[in-house]
Amino acid sequence: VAVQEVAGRVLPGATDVEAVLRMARRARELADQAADAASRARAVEGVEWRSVAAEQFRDALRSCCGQLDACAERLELAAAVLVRHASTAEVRLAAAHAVLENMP
Amino acid sequence: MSEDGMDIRGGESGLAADLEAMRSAAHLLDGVSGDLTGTALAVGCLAADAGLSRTVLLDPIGVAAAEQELISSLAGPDGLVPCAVRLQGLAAGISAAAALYGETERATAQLLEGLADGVAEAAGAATSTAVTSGLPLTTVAVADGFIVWAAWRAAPPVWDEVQLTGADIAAGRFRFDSLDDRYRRVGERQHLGMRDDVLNGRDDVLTWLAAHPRVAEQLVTSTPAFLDGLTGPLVVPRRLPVNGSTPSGGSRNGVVWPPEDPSELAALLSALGASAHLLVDGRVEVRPVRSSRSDSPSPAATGVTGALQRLAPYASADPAQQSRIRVERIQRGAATSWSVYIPPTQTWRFDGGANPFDGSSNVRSVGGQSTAAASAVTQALAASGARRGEPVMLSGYSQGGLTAAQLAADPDFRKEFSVSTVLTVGSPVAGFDVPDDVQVLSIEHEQDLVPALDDGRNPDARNWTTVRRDLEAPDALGQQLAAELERNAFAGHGLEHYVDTAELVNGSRDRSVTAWQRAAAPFLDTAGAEVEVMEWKARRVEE
Repeated sequence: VAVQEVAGRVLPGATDVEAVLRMARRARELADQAADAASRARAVEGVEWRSVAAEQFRDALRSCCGQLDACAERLELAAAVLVRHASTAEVRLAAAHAVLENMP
Repeated sequence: MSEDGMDIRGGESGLAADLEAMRSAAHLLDGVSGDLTGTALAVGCLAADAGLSRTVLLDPIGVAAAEQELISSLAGPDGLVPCAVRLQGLAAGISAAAALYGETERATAQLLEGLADGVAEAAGAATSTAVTSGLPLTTVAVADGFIVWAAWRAAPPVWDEVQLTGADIAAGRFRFDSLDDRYRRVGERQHLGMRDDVLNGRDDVLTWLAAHPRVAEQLVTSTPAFLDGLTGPLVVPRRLPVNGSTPSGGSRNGVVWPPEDPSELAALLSALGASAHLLVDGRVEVRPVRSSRSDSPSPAATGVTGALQRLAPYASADPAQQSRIRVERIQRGAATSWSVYIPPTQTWRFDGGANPFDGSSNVRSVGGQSTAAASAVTQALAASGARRGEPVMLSGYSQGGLTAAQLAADPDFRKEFSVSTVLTVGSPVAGFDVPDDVQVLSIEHEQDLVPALDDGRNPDARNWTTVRRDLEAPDALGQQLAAELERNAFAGHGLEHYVDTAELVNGSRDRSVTAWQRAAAPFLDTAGAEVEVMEWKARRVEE
C-alpha cells in the first residue's frame, strides 16, 4: 500500500520506502553508466594523432572525462543519500506508527 | 617547433595522424554522447519520481539532499547534459580534422607528385627530342630541361606554405586554389636566378646545387621520372637483365626500369656498375687496433656533442684514422650496452679499394643493397662480444649515419643485435624503414646538400625526431656562416658546424628532443659506468 491509515491519520507506507530504495539502485546504475562513458571516451586519447590541434583536443577530452567522473560520483552520492533517506524514513515511520497506535 | 634556429619535427611532439583511427574515434565519441543523453534523461526521470514526494514529510532534509545531487549531476555546468554536448562537439572536431587532413593529403599529393612527375617527364621527353633531332646532349641541355625545373619545384615559399601545423589545417587556413599560381611565380624567379648563375657560366652546376640543397633534393626525387621521359620513344623492358644484390646479400634477376625512386635508381647504378667492376660490395675483414678502459669520458663529451666528438677523428684526413670503427662496451653492474661510432665517407673510390667507407658503400646503401661498410660494422660489433638482448646505439656522420639507419632497418642485423637508439648527422636517411621501437635522432642543416640526397623528408614518426637547422639564421653567427657558405657551398656539411648544432640540441627543451635524449642517455652520459673502448680496422679484401 502506498499510504497507511493509522488511528484515522494517513502516513507514508512501507512501499514508499521500497520505492526510494529502488531509486537508489537506479541512481547507482546511472552512475555506472556515466563512469563507463568516461572510460570509453578516455580510450580515444590513444588515437594516433599528434599536432597542436590534437593536444587541444586531448585537453578538452580529458576535461570532459573528468567532468563525467564527477557526474558519476555525484550520482553515487545521490544513491547513498537516497539509501540514508530510506533508512531515516523507515525509522521515523515506525516511530510514528508506534506513537499513533499508542495514542489514547 | 622552432627553437634557436632549429626546426624540430617528428618524435614525441611531431605532427602525425592516423585518419582511419581518427574517424573511428569520432564514431566512438558520437556513440558515447548518444548514450549519455539517454543516461541524462533517466536521471531527469529519477529526480522527478513521485516516490520522493511521498516520503518528504518523514525526512525533508534527506529528500532535498538527494534532489540536489541528482539535479547537479544532470544539468549543472559540469553535468551530464553539458558533457554529452561537449563530447558531441569533440566527435565533430576530430571527424572534421580527419576529413581536412585527408583532403589536404590528397590535394597536396596530387599537386606536388602529379605536377612533379609530369613536368620531369616532359623535361626528359624534351631532352630526348633534342637528342633524336641531332642536337648534342650537353650539360646545358640537361640543366635547361631538368635542373631548372627542379629549382622551380623547390621554391621555398611553397615549401613553407605546405608545412602547416594541424591547427592551421583544422582551422582551414590552407587554400589550394592559390598554390598553383604561387608555385609558378616563385618558380619563375628561381629559374631566372639559376639561369643567371649556371647557364651564363658564372657557376658550375654542382656548386650551384650545393648552395641550393632543396633543389638537389627535388632533382634526386624526380630523376626517375626524368629518365622515364628520356627513354619514352624507346621500348625498354620493365626489368632490365642486369644483376643486383639485395640488402640481405642475395641476388635478384634484373633491376626495375624505369627506377621509381632514388633507391631503385641507386640499385640500377650499382647493377650497371658491377659489369665494369665498379660499385662492388666485396668481402670485409676487421681486426682490433685498440682496446682501453675508462670510467667515463670527460664531462664535456656527453650528449650529442660527445657523440660527435667521438666521431670527429674519423672525419679527419689523418691516415691513421682511416677505416676505423669505434665500439664502446658500457657496463653498469650486470647490465651491458653497446655504442657504435661509424665513420663517414673517407674515400670517393668506386672500384672496390681497401677502405670500405667509400663511394661504393654510399651508392649501394641508398639503393638498399648490402654494403662493405655495414658488413664491417656488423663484424666489429660481433667481434667486440655484443649479444642479442644487450641494447645497442648506432651513431654516424654523413655515410656513417646512412649505415646506422640501414643497419637499424635491416631485419637480419636486428636478429643478431638489439638496436634501440640511432643518431644520424648530415645523412640522407629518409628512405629507411626503421622499426617503431628504435629511437632515431637525425640532425640536418638547411644548407647541407648531403641529407637532401634522399627522396624526401624524414618520417614524422613518434620514434623519429629530426632537427633541421638553418645556418643562415638572422643572428651574428648566421651572418658569419652565410659569409663562409658564400665562399664554400659545401660548408653546410662540415662536422664543426654540426658540433655547434649538437650543443644547441643538448640544451634543447623540446619534448621530442628530450624524449630521444632520455633514450640515448645510457649510451652518451656514462658517468659511473665502466666503459671499454675498442677500435677495429676494417679492410675490404679480394674475393
